[in-house]
Amino acid sequence: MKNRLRVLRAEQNWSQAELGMRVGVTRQAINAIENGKYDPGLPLAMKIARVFEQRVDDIFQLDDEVGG
Amino acid sequence: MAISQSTPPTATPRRVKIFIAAIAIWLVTYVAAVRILDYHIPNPWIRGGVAALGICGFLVWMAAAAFAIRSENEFNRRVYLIGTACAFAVSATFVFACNMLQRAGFVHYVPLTTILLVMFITWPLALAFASRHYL
Repeated sequence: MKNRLRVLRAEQNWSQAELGMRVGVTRQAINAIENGKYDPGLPLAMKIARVFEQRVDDIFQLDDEVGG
Repeated sequence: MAISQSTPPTATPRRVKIFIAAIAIWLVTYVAAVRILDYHIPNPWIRGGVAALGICGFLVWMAAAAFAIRSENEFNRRVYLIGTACAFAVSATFVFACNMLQRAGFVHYVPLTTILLVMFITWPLALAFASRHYL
């Protein structure tokens, strides 16, 4: 699973901790998601999409969908 | 911009208080049960009741731990899940190894409390390992 979390967060000028606070997880969780070590569940993915005002699949893509 | 949905600030202290209280209950019931059982009371109902008291104290702590884990966010729950799985694997390996060594004649007897101690030591270590995995 790939995601655009780091880019979107940078656009908002948010730290990992700040984004984590907005979606109710720790900074470590955001870091793990950004580094592709952890794929969030649907509720967390939807919360992330909501704070960025985007659709979930605009932020998270399956590996075989990237660039396709 | 969307509104934040952070965890209420009072959640963590309440969770910690419950966890500490549960540990206190466990320790008190354990010490009380062990001391009473040391008297070798002849009545089996009393012995059974005291043993049940010790078990219930432990279950209170287990329930508090489960409550604390359930109230974490999904990422932390995943870390706990992996940590618990690793701790279970290490503990099971330890029990199996003890069994083999016992059958081979190298170990005479491994107390159950030793196995419990191994579980208590491996659990935080496994949690640290699981946390590090996601760094």
